[in-house]
Order: sequence, then C-alpha cells, then structure tokens
Amino acid sequence: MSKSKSGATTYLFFIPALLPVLSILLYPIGKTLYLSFTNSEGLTEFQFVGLTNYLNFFSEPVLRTTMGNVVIWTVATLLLPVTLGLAIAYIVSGVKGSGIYRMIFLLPYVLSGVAVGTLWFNIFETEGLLNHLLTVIGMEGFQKSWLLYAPTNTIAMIVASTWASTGLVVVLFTVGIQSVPLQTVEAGRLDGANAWQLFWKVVWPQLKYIRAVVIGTALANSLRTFDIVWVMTGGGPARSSETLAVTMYRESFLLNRYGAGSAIAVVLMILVAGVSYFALRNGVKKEEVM
Amino acid sequence: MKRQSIGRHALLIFLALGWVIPLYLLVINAFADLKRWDAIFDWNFKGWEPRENFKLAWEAATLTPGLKSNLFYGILGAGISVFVASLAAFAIVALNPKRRSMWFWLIYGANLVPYPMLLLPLFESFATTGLYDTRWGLLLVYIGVAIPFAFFLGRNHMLSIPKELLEASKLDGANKMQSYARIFLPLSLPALGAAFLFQFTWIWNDLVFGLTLTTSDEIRPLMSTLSTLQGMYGNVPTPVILSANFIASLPTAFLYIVGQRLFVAGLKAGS
Repeated sequence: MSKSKSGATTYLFFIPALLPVLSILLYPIGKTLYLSFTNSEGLTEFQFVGLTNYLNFFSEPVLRTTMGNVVIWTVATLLLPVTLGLAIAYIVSGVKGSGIYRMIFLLPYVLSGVAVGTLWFNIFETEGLLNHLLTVIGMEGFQKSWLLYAPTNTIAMIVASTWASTGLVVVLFTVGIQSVPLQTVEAGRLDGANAWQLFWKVVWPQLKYIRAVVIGTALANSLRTFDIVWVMTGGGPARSSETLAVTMYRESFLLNRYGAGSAIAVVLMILVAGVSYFALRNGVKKEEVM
Repeated sequence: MKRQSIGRHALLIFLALGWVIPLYLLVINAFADLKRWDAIFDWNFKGWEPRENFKLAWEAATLTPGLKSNLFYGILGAGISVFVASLAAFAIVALNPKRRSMWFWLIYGANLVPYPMLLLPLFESFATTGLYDTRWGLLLVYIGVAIPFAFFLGRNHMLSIPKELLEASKLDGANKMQSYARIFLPLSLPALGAAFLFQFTWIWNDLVFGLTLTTSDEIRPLMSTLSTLQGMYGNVPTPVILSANFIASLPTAFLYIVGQRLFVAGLKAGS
C-alpha cells in the first residue's frame, strides 16, 4: 500500500533511539573491526597486519575445539531449550494450574548467571551432588569427572543453560499458542484429530512468526554464551570447553591481544548475525508487506 | 478427556522435577547454617539461616549503594530505552518511512552484537570522555543495549494496531506526535510494559558492563559488587555468596510474579 510520502519529521522519531545505539553499539563494532586488522596490545603503538589475525585464528588448533563447541552449543540450543520449551508450552496450555507450572519453569530465568553457574558447578563437580547421588543409588559405574573432560564439560554447561533459559521459551511459545484462534482448534477437534495431530496440523503452522523470534533469540544467546562457562569451567581444562565469546575474552582481556581478540569478535558477530538473519528473515519480511 | 489431563499432569510434574530439584539444592545450600555446612554442596538440609548468611554477605561487600544504583539503572535504563524505542517503532510502523528495512536492521541489528566485544572499545572511549565510573555513563550503556529488543517488541505490537485508527486521527487533524501519544502509545502499553520487564531484569542482572566501566562502590551495580565476594574465595563461604545472589534476584522474581499476566497479555497481541 503506497501512501503519501512521510516527510522529514518522520526521521526525528528515529533520532532518540538511534543516538544511543550508534554510540554504544555501532561505534564499538566499527572500532573492533578496525582493531582486528592490527597487532594492538593495548596502550602501545600498533601496526596494520592485514589478515594475519584471521589467518592465525583459523590455523590455531585450539580453535578447532572452540568451533566444535560452538556447533555443539548451537545444535543443543535448538534441541533442548527450544524444543523442550515448545513441548512444555503446548502441554501446559489449558491445563489446570498452568500458571504455577509456567512459574516453576520461569524462576531460574531471573537468577543471575553467577548463581546458576555456581549451583551447577557444585552439581557436576567430581566431588559434587550428581556423583554423590550415583553412589547412593548404587550406580558408581556411571560416575565421571564431568567437568574435566570434553565433551562432557560442554554438555554439563548446556544442561545448566537449558535449566536457566527454557522458562523464557515457554512463556514466548505460550503467547504464540494463546493467539492461535480457538475456532481453528475446535474445527480440527471436530474432524477427529488427536492432540498430536492438532499440534502439527493446526497449531504449528500458526506459530511461524513467534518461532522465528524464539529461535533467533535462543541461537544468538547460545552463540555468545559467556557467564555460565566462565563460572563453571573458565573454558578449561586446557581450553577444552571454550566458546567463541570466552576465547575472545581471554585473548583480549587476559592475554592483552586486542587485535586477535577483535578478529574473533568479528567472526563471532558474523556467525550470530548470519544465523539470526536467517531465523528472522521470514518473520520480518512477512510483516514488511503492509 | 479426563485421562488425557491426568497424563498431562504426570508428564508436567515429571518435567517440573528437573527444575524444582536444582532450585531446592540452591535454596538449602544457600541458606544452610554455616556451622553445620561442610565445604561442598549437600543433598541434605543443614539448617536454615537465610538472614545470617545474607547479613554476612552485606558486611563483606557494601551492598546498600549497589542496591540503590540498581534501582536507578533499572528504572531509568528500562524506562528511557522503552520510551525512545517506542518512538522509533511508531515511526517505522505508522509513518511509512523510506527504506523501512534499513531502519529496522539499523536499530534491531545491533541486538546481534556479542556483548563482550563492546567492552574494550567502550572502556577506551569512556576513559577519554570522562564517562568512566559515572552513573550517567553506565546508564547510557544500558539504554543503548536495551533499545534494540524493546524496539522489536514494540514494533511487533504496533503492527497489530488497525491502520484505520491512524487514518481517522489524521482526518481529525492530529499531527504525528498526537497520533503517537493518543493512539499508538496507549494501545501498546501492555507490550511496552513487557519490554520494560525484560530489560529491567537484564539490567538488574548485568555483571560485565558494571565490572568493566565502573570502579567505585557508589557507582557499581549490584551484581558487579556481589561478584567481588567471589574474588574473596576462601574468606567468604559459598552459601554466603549464593544467598546474596539469591536475595538480589528477589525483586525481579517479584516483578515477574506480579507482572506475568501483563507480560503474557502484552506479548500476545504482538505475536
């Protein structure tokens, strides 16, 4: 629908939002991009080194582990918080006491990353609660030093992150499910569809938009996972459980290799942006046509 | 029908146990009696001393200024970012700007930035502009980071507002600001309320920006102050750290419990 042209005052409405975004988000991105082509180590003079940081980045063996972890995190985020959250939201909808169930799943979401990390560290630690439980129920054979080896350390942290983040997914999908028109569900029921068929044939197609939002947000958050890893393993042992955000933090702030850290940040951002763009594209485009 | 609902409850209770058991472990260990608690987490109840543990945390780290700062950052940061985001959302939805997609990604795209990558450039520019370790400086950071998602939620909701309302107000001679203030703002208040809740929680729990951009007790937000307890490991027992973290999360938990209805209603219309 083409309407009269909007006039210059329209753009005044963007300015209050745009100024903070430019100064707090876009300027640092530009600066990071610039530093990623230098050998900056902080306060000292630095030179342009072209693509060296990127090439080093791709040739470092520890990076293969990191990239492997990124893949595990990404797949697991789709499988666990998103699928589980959707399943819970669907099962909860219409059940008596649904508010209480939803509240239980949502509670960990308000806890700080430090609290979540400390709790799950104490569960998975070699002397921790999980191994203790296994002894008590006579399954010593399954005991492991969960946090000391890859890939169980990454899996342990995914469990922690699932525990903390599923509640939000439940709420978002609940919102989506509640806005599915009741008549369509009733019609399906009259046609004799069971709960499983109702979900796939009637509800699922109508969740298209909220699905894109949830998947986009969940993937972006998982790719930049930091707090939980930092508290539970610090990325170790021997950097085996590092994610890109942790690798970047280590290079920049602990090793003072700002140039190298910036290159990792750029790679990380391209990944997050690419994944989110694909996840969101459909949802956004649909609305764009008004 | 009835059998189906029993099955659902059984399944839900089974799943909920996975959430309740860790919460139980967190609570009993955070509030355990320090005299009975041995260095590691325990499945068993070892006394109940929430006030004592919290008092110890309060003494070890000076939490009062952190709490005050958090209210300042949380309310102003979430409030201002949601307000300016709603102006931009209104413009993109109702005012038919040229290059709509470009405006959308310019504001929303920033949401895709990994936060750790902001720290170094922000630290440098804050050091040179004198914003380092100031309330307004950190507030500006929270506002900037909170805008994109608030904008996204506000825009989704405003898309559901019938265009006829806008046309009608134009015929009545309303200018853009009046259309915003009389139609779009009031009708999207629930969605903006949900956005406020989201961003308030995020700001309340922020750790890294507070750690990197502030240093004095007066300016530091709560979670960053609390994390200095971690640094005193050995001196401060884990239950004390946890109970402080737990109690620091109560305000946001309270907001969610009170605001859940609003929250769901606010997001619903925008989906």
